[in-house]
Amino acid sequence: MMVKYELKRIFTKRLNRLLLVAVLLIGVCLSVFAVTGGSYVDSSGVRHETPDAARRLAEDRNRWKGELTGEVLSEITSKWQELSSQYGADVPAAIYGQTVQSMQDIEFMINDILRGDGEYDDSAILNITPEQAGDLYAIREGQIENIIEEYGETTEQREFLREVYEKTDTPFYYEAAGSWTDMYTYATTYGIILVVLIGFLAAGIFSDEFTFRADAVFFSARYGRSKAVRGKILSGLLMATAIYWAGMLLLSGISFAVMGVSGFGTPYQIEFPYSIYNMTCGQEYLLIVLGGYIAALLSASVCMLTAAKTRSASIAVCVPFILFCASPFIARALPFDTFFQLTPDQLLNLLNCTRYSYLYQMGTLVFRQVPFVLLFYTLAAAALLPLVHRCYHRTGIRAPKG
Amino acid sequence: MELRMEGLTKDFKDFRAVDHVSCVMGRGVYGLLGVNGAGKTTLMRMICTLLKPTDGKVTWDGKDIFKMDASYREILGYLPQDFGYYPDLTVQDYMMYISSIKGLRPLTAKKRTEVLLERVGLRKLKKRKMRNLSGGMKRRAGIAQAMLNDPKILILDEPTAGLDPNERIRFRNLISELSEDRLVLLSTHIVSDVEFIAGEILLMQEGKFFLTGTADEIISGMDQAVWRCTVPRKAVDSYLGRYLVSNVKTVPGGAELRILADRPPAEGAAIEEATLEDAFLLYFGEKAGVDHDGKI
Ligand SMILES: Nc1ncnc2c1ncn2[C@@H]1O[C@H](COP(=O)(O)OP(=O)(O)OP(=O)(O)O)[C@@H](O)[C@H]1O
Ligand SMILES: [Mg+2]
Repeated sequence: MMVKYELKRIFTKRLNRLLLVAVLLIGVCLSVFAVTGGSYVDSSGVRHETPDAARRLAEDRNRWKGELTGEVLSEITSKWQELSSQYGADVPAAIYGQTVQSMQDIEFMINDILRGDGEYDDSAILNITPEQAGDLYAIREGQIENIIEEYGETTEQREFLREVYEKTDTPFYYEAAGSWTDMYTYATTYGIILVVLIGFLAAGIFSDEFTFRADAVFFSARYGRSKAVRGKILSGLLMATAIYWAGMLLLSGISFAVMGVSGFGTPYQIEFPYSIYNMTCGQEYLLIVLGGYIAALLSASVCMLTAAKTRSASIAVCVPFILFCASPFIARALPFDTFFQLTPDQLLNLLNCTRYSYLYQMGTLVFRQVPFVLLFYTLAAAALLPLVHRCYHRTGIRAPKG
Repeated sequence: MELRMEGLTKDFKDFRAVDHVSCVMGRGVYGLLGVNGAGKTTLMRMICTLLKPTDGKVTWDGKDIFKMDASYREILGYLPQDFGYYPDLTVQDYMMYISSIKGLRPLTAKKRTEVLLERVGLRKLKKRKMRNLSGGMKRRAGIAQAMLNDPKILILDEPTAGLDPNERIRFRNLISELSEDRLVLLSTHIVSDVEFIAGEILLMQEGKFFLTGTADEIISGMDQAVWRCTVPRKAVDSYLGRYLVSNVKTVPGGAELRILADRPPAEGAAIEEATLEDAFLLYFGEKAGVDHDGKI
């Protein structure tokens, strides 16, 4: 019952309602941007920017669906080279619609594999023979050796990287995953907005008693220093969970319903061939959403703690900004720069984290950035909760007005 | 059923707000009377475990209330002087929320809420938001809130502050009704609030109880009589300077004064029956300056 009315209290506050509606509207707007952001060129060269463009694009690209064997890769390479020598940079729209568009994902991938750890070069595909393209996975193996030497600073790290790379299956399986990869940025952006909102609402849970001078009644009630505080904490977590997932479901629901879910199982390595995270594009999306959720919980618990300590919502609402926006700058100013990739803002930056090979080592234990950040901040959020309880439990009361 | 204070003291830095208060309270209504800053609120907050005493202790049936913790607060109802509420909750939801903090079961909470809102006359307004209640209605919600757990100890800090005379009388009756079978401690600086309903009156000054007793005891303990006399309007100022004057009323041909004095202050002065208000003036008079038409 406590939790029910605590939640009621959060959701009946006028300002809270207003913000919530605003944030949900932003969610709808973002999905609209996502859905209308893509374009598709049909076989007669006409460009479509209608909401079904994404679906038609995926359909078109899925003519290459399947394992990208050496044969497929050399076929694409020679086609690409042919088109390039025929038209140079000015591909007629109809030709673009008929062939170029469908091969683009794979062409990018080939360039990406060829660059290894170097600069991206969009003419790399023109500088190999189709036979070499057929051996692309061998080229990749060679690049991986370089990368291991480059990034593995100790034997343990090199060993770790080698194991990770061995787990990546080749040849890659291709299915157009544009709807997933497009959504990475939208989910990240919306995650940040949700996390700030959740922090704000969570702060209110523990500062309202003081703001409204309702503290005397609260603390002189039977459970005012025990169960009711736990009820508040639980409400905060429930609120964060409900709002975060409702928001994300809204965004994902609208977007994927329109754009389709083609490519959930496409390996992430098609996009970033040397990523040390073995997963699919769909999993990457889910990972980004999960990172946001952990950020939401962290934001809720830190805001609750700050509000309980300072008794002021206005101080507490600044906390998410410090945590998720300013922390990288602060960390960069500190002497140990290895750690600036471990600041909490990384929870909301997973779309970039999975592209890089940040490794950390403690003794002989080697770990990657993403799992560490996820685990560490989940534990941090949980560890703060008892502090919130202690802080509110011991509240001596503010001086009465004279 | 015994609330005992022993040498209860509270210091704020170098200022002593409550000074070695000792007393025993049982069933009944106690009226705590004192001027602004006498220490009433501070005393009550200590009784509600919201402030730690600097010295001394409070016990309930022999047990230290700070050690009893939740089991003490279970039998406590408190209406603070600056009663704060959650503006966006409806009256009903507010009552249910407080019930939950007080540990009532949902069904009991619902029933108590119904009964109490009926009793304080807010039943029709139960769907209204707290922010949209008038001052008097808020106070009534405040009392209802304090009564939710059917407390054995009911602490009301200036429940009648800011109410109009009608509302105040209704309030007095309400408190009187609610007081059966519990200890009610009620603070005010308006004498008539407690004159008729309080069994025991505690006069508080500078952190101390300096006089306690029933209204009659306090009145009969006065060493001065109350006189009524009519004087020329020009002379009023000189009377005000020389005597404690509890009322000035303009009448044709002069002013009728109500004066506290041990001898007749003027020729033709008639003895009047003393009231608690006269006593209040006598004890606090020089310090407070009672408002001259403070009677209702
Ligand atoms: N937290 C505090 N810090 C310092 N002084 C305080 C504090 N609380 C109260 N006081 C002082 O203690 C004295 C008693 O205050 P208290 O509020 O108990 O008086 P009161 O009898 O309730 O007065 P009123 O009738 O105005 O409500 C006052 O002089 C007040 O200034
Ligand atoms: Mg007071």
